[in-house]
Amino acid sequence: VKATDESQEVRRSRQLLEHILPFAARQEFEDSVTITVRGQRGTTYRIAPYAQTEMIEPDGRRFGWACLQSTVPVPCYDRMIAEYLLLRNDESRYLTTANLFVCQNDHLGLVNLFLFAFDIALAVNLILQCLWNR
Amino acid sequence: MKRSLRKLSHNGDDVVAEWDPKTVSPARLNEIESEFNALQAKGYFAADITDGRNVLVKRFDANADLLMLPRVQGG
Repeated sequence: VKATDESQEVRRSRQLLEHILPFAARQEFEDSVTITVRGQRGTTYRIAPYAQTEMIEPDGRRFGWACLQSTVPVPCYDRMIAEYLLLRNDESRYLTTANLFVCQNDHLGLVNLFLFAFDIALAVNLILQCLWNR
Repeated sequence: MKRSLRKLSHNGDDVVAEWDPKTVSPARLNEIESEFNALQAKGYFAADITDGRNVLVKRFDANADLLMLPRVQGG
C-alpha cells in the first residue's frame, strides 16, 4: 500500500506503529510491511496489516494462523499495534484470546498422495485396456 | 518533556490528554488519571510506550506516554 493511497486515519495509525517499533522492527516493517515477534515459547509470529498472523515453528515451518480483532473499529495498523504489544508482553493471553487455525498439512499431504496414486492406477488401467482391445 | 495519554480509535488514535509532568497541577493530573481509569473500566488495556518501553501497565504513570488499546477478541 502506497502512503499516498492511505486515508488520514490509516496513515495516522501507521505513523503511530512506526513510532512504537524499535529500530530493527521498524526497518522490517518498512521493507515488508510485516512485524516479526519471537514468543517466549519459541514460536515466531509474523503480523501483517491485511492478513492473519502467521505462527512459525523454530525450524521455520509455518504451522498455523492467529486471528485477533479489536472490539472497536480501528485502522489495520492499530490492530498490528495491539497484537505486537500483547505478544511482547503476554503471549499466553494472546493465544487464549485469538482464534487459532492450525495447518493440517500432513493430513492434506497424505490425501494428495493417495489421489495421485489413484490417478496413476487409473491411467495404467486405461493404457492396459487400450492395449488389450487392439 | 510533554507526556500524553492516547487511545486507539477509528481515527487511528485520539489524544485524551497531554501534560508536562513538571508543571501540571495535581488537580489536572487527577482528572487525567480518572480518564485512564475510566478507559480501563471500559475494557481498554494500557501500554507504556515511552522511548520504546512497550510494556503493558495497569496503573497510571504521570511520567510516561500511555497508550490505551481497546479490548481484543478472536476474529
